[in-house]
Amino acid sequence: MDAIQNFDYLFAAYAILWVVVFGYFFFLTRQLGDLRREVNALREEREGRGSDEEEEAGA
Amino acid sequence: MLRSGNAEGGRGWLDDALGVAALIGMVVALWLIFIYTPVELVQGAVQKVFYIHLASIWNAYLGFFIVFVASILYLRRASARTDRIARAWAEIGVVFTTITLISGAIWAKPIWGTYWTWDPRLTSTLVLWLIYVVYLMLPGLIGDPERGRRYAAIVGIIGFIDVPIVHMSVRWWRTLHPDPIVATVEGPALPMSMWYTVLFCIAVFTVLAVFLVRQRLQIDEMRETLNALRSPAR
Repeated sequence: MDAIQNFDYLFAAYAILWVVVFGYFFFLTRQLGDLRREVNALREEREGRGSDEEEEAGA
Repeated sequence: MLRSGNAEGGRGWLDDALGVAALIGMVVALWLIFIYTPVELVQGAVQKVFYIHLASIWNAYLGFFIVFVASILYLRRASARTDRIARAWAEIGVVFTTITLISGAIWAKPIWGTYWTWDPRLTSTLVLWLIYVVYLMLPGLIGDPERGRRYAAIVGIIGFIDVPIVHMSVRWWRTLHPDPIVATVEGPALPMSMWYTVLFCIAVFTVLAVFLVRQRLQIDEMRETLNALRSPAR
């Protein structure tokens, strides 16, 4: 059995493990980041609208 | 303030601790695999694929078992949280079944001379992967989300039947796949250094799976917060 060729397969298996695990982790992190930004934007929009309404009511 | 996680989608101390533990554990696992354990005499270096292959299928079994239990609970009392937990673990199960299939194929090429053969163990594992891919796709394929989740729960229960089939396939049928050397009645047929490394890899992969599941659950919680903010009732 060719030990060096075997080492290529070993390297490939571990490389794919890291690519899949980190790829999935970055996919999750990116989704979470996008959602967080969207939630914060909506909250700020609502808060802005809320304070405008308060100002109008006060006037 | 110490938080284990929150509905705002922020990572708490528990997520940080799990992430750091998984990362350090992975580095230690690599040291154990490449330095501590000996090179197997017959297969050579490629035998070291075994450690990630076994730990990956362990995570898949664990994930699909949780899907099975959560699906039963969901059918008894339709709870959004139970469904979220089931779906998060199903996704993790699919990710690690993918790693199992790919690492197995890479190991098989120099040992069997082919990446793939329709062997009972390989075929039943591919079927397992397909079952849970369908499970994840089902709610999106059916118009009514509630009905879709119920059908998915049924698939999550019935699909779990394939897990013991995958595990026992090497005993029930003639197969090319090596016989079990860890989960045997006689005990593990491995040198102690390999056995400790196997156990350590399983522990590290479990921590990694829990960490990833928590990230996945936070995404679902954020989506709910977003839907609630968008809802005109508020």
